[in-house]
Amino acid sequence: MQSRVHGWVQVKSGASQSEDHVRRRETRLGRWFPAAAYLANYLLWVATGIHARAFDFPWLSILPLPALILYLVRSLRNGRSA
Amino acid sequence: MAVAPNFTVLLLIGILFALIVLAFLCWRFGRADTLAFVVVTGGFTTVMDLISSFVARNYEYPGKSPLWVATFIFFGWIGVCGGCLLLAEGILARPGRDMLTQPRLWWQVPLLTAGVAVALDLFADPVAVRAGYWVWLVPATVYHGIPLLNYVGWFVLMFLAPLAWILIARNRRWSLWRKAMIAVAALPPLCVASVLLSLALNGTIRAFGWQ
Repeated sequence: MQSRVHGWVQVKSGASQSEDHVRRRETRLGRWFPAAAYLANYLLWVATGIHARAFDFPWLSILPLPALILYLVRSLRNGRSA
Repeated sequence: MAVAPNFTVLLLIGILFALIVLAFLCWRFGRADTLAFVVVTGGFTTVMDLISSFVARNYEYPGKSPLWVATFIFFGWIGVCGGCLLLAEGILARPGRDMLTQPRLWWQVPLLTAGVAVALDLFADPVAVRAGYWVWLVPATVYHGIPLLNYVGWFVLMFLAPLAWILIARNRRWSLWRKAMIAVAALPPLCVASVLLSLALNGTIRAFGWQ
């Protein structure tokens, strides 16, 4: 038996209800929310710095980006293989 | 000329961001685990951060009351921890698994969460200090006027809080109230562990003459 959950097809018969959190991680929302939340947090600090004219050290702004890039690379790769 | 910091906007954005993260956690993991997350992330980090600000006098939010500070750091830590935790999970978890089901992620995800959070704060803290949102009261000689004990604190809190939450959330059969009670009971050992870990890491850093 199949049903649609947030745009993704899931097989109900073999999966227990306790693994919903795993299935939801692989939905569109589950994949993109972590990147969007982290990016929003980052951009808020960029905006704070610009608004307060506090950008004495613009090169510091690249420090949080490797984690986001790594996440996006992993997500895209996993999404393609799924 | 520098613009005066807008503490109201800072607080409102912090609360809104935390509520969005909590709504997502509730959708993915359910109410019981979200409540446990609020307790171990918001509660634990708020207690430790209040001690750092008002007891140890490491830093202060200029002119802000203890209630304002407690509210901001409670929601602020929930938002930051949630965002970094989900990013760390996405980097480490294999398809068809997550941080609650994949072996070894119970400690690997918190470790990476701490690293991601520290990397974020290496950028955010100098901006916040320059913008006047908070002021460090202890000497800082290495990193743009920010004492290294700040980054030790971020690492310790952002490692221990997700660690405690994952260990609680992995028990899928526990009821909401059982998870809530265990999360509350975990606060004293979490506080003791964070003090001991911070002392050890800060002592090591001081041994090199850095601060």
